[in-house]
Parts: sequence; structure tokens; C-alpha cells
Amino acid sequence: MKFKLFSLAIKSLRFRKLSIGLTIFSLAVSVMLLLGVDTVRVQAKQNFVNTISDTDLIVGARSGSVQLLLYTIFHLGNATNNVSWQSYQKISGHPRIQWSIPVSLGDSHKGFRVVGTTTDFFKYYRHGKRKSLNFAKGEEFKNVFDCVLGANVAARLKYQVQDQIIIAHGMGNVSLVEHDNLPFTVTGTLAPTGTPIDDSILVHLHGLEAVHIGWEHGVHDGTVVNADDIEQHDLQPKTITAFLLGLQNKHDIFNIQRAINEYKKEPLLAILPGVTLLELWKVVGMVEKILFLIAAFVVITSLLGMVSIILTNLNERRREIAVLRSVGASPRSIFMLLVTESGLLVSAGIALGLLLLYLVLTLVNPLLESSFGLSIELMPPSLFQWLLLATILLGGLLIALVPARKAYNKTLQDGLTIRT
Amino acid sequence: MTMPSECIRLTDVAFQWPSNSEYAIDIPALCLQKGEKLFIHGPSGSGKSTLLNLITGVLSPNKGKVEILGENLFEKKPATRDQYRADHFGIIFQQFNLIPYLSVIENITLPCSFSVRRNSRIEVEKKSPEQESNRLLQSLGLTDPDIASRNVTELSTGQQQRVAAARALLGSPEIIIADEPTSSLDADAKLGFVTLLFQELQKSGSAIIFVSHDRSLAADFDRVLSFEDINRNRRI
Repeated sequence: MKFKLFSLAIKSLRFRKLSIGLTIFSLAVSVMLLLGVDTVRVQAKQNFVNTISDTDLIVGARSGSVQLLLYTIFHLGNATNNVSWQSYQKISGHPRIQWSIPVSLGDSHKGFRVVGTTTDFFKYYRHGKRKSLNFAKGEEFKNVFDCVLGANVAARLKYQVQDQIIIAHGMGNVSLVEHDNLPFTVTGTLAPTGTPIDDSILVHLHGLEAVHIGWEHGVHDGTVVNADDIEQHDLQPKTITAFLLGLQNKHDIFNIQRAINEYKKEPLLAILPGVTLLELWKVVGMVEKILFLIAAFVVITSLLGMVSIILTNLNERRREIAVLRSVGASPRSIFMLLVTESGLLVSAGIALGLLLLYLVLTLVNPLLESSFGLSIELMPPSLFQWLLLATILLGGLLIALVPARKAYNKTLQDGLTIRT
Repeated sequence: MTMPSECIRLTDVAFQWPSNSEYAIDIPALCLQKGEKLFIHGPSGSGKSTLLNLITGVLSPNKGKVEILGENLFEKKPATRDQYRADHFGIIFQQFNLIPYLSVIENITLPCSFSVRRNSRIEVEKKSPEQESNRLLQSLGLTDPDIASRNVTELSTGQQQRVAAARALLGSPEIIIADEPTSSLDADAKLGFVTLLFQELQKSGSAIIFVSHDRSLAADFDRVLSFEDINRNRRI
């Protein structure tokens, strides 16, 4: 009997192919949307939080912690103040510090940030799950006027190893004073990281210092420097924008952070990148929450659509119900038939939705990777996603009680009388 | 215990739809013998369908007794009454007898999925419900071999009514209820339908209550009653 009800439900659904097919499709699309938004938000957050890893502290001039993170790691906005070279030397030379990476910002090339640093950047910088930087082509910079390009810079500007580029003072694309007397030679390009490094040009601090000779007061004082006599100048920078620290022992983080924040000679700020990233995500994350909410409403809408289809069909099915009653179906069987049909509909919608999700993710993945540096890993649904699906199924069954109940009442009212 | 010779006995049965006074029924007595062919005629809208709902246990009377095969149906739970209907009744409606998403054979064998009893009556004869359906189709004049696989919506009204008759007869239930089964058929088809139906009733030994406004069909029935004579209640 149970089985018979099930096969009746399937045959009845198959009979109304078009309306049922569209209902399943609309459910599937909404399920795909909801899981898609969830997958992307989880992995985007993962990618975001993994922008920098293995760095214990980021140190810059005293300002807000989010601001410091934004300009050092995301290259958004500018530093209000610099850190003196002496302070950097003092702190990075501390025995508890394992490594340090100085970062100097402020120049650009065709809209891409130029980052002055040292070869320690290639040695110690980690992103994602402790991934180090890999070279797609070439190698790290060796000479003062060498540079390494991020993956997007190389791809967008179509630069090759050995090409020469000229960097400009400040940010932007036009009307900037260019340091055209001192071009940089590309020695290598990096593999994509999905982080702002892809949009950066890495040069040695000394190179950055060299192009700024004569610029000490913000405007050019007329001093002309040539690449040949560069050795005569002292290329040790006076200041840097910020620096990253790796500690010998992770347990020291808070002690060292406090020590830096209380540093007497200069107002400095040390932040824990992971903590600040999460703080920042809370701001960015609003968008993600809103998207998820919209997707959830789309699911609710398509469930309501399903119920309205079932209710519309119900009137046409009064004869069918009377016939089933005449051969011995109880009002309860009719009720169960309708609930079973809805359950099958929602299940089919969920299954098709999952299929669509993985299909779309597979198709869209290369696009996301290339244009946003966001790589979506294809994984089986998470526990949360299974719970979402279970909620949709349960919600579908609950909402299906409305037409089922109506059919039950009609069954009692109509009896064996066929009303048309 | 000997089985009573009556299939149906109604005693002082009164029923009124709660919403209006239409189709009110007040029947002092009505009985149907085993294997009897009873013809009830009366104008449409006189409450004949309501009577059939009472007999088949779909509606409960306000008062009185409806005994089917010696048992008072309304002392039983609704689910038991539904089972009783599946086991002992074959019902043919005026039209739209068939479920559009089931094949002809699936439509005919439908009672077997609700009634073990009717299924086992077929098995006793060492046949499957499908074989029995095919036999009934043949003897009801639907000899076209591919009719069984046809979509029911492609059948003519006459063919549909015969498929419905085959379903009612499958597994030889004790009582066949036919509610205006021929009113959508033309004159020739009507007679043919009744003739074939009677042949099958002979074989299965089922009793029939045949309700129609068309007295021309009444000739071969054992007993002919006018609904006005059975029902004391007049429409207000």
C-alpha cells in the first residue's frame, strides 16, 4: 500500500510534466543559488583570511589596526606616517624575532602598486595554508634596479622577463611624475596567489630609495641620478612604511606586541593579522549576509510557487480523488499522496539543484580564478549545507500540508460525488 | 454462522447535508439480495448519489442502520469502512472514471492495491490481476489488442465506461454500484454496455444497484424501484 502510494505519486507527477518540471527547475535554481552563495561566501572568507599567513605581527606607524592592515596587505589607502629605519633595525634585531620583512609603499606603475622590500619577502612571505611565493617565470630581484611582477601585473600589461618599466611617484595612471631616468628590469613574474600581491610590483628597498634621491622633500630638487653612479649614494632608506615579523616562539606574540606598542622612541602599532582580518571581514561580511538572505528568500518563493501549483492542480484532480476513494482509498491516503508528491518534488529539486551547483561552479571556477583570484574548491556539501537542504525539505513538507489538508477536507466533502 | 442472504439492508436511514436541505434522505427500508440486479430510477438531483455515498460508507447517516453483508458499517471506524468499500464494492460513475496518469491495465487493477481480498480471489483462479484485466476487457468487448497499452485519455467515452466496468468487476466484489453509468453513451452503446455487464455479473455472482433516470434500460433487472418510492423525503 505504501509502495503503491509512492508509485501513484510518481506517475501523477510524471503526468503533469510541464508544470511539475518547471516547479522542480525553479526549486533547483533556488537551491543552487542558496548553496552557491554559501559556498562562495565560505571560501571567499577563507581566501580573505588567508591573504597573509604565518606572519605573527604587522608593525606600522600608530593609526587604526584595520587601517594598518588595509594599506600594508591590501594596498588600500596610504600610511599616515612612516616607521624609522632605526626602529625597524632595533625591533627586527631582537633575539626573539625570527624574521622580518620591510615594506615600503607609495609608488606605482600604471595603477599597480610598487612594493619596496628585500629578498626576505620571497623567503618568508606566506599566504593561504602557508604557501610560499612561487615564480611563474624568472627569479627574484638581485640588483638595485630589478623588479618582480605579480601575476595580474604580468598578465594585464603583457610584460616579459627582461622588459624595462618606469615607476611613478604616487598612485594612479595619469599625470604622475615618473622616475623615467631610472628604469627597472623585470627579473621574474610570480604565480597567482589570489592575494593583492598579484597586483603588485616588488622591487628592492634600495631601488626605491635610489629613484627617490632628490625627492626627499616631496618635490624634486633638481638632483639628477644615473644608474652608473648610483653606487656613490647611500641607498639605506631613512624610513619604511611598515614591516612584518615572524617570531621564534608564538607564545611571545602578546608580549612583543605590547613591547612594540609601548615603544618609547616612536609611536608604533603592532597588530595580529588574523585577528584584524576577521575584524575587517565583519565589515565586508555584511554583503555576504545580505546575499545569503536574498537567496533564502528565493528558496521560500519557489516553495510557495510549488504550493500554488499543487493547489491549482487540486481542483482538476477532484475527479481523480473521487475515483481513488471509490476503490477504497481513505482520506488519509489522499492526504499522504499529496504530501508524498510534494516530498518527491522538493527532493528532485534539491538533487537537481546540487547537480546544477557543481556544474556551474565547475564552469565558473576558471573565470573567478582569473578575474578575482578567487578559487572555489569543489567539495561535498558541508554540514551546514546538509542542514540547509534538510531545512528546505522539511519546509517543503510542512508547507505541503496546506494543499494536503485542503484535499483531505474536499475528499470528505465530496465523497464519491464527482464534481467538475 | 451462516452468511445472510442479503448484501445490503438499510433500516430507517436518514441523512441531511449540513449546509442545506437539498438531497435529504429518509429511507424506512431498502435491501439488496445476493446476486440481485436492482434498478433504481429517478430524476437527477433527487439524492440518488447521496444514497450511494451512504451505502458505500463514505457518508454516515444521521440516524438508522446501514448493514453491508450483515455488518453495521457505521459502528466501524472510517478506515475500516474504506477497507470494506475496497473489499466488497465495485463502483462505476457516470463519467471520468479513469485516472489519467495510469494505463488502462493499471486503472483496472487499482482495486487490487487497496484490497488483498479481491487480489486473492483472482489468485485462487491461478491468474494475475493483469491477466484477469485482459480477460475482462475481452469479454466487455474491448478486443483491440493494443487497447491495454493505450493512454486512457485517448479512449472514447464508451470505451472508458467499459474499462470502468472491468475495474468494478475485478476480483468479483459482492456489490456493484453503477451511478448513471450509461448516461454519457448513445442509445446503442447503452444497451450493449448493460448486456455485457450482465454477462459478467452472471459469472462473478455480484449483485448490482444500477441507478439511472433512463427507464428503457430497466427491462432485464430483477427488481425496479423508483427513488421517490424508496425515499420518504420530498425536496422542499
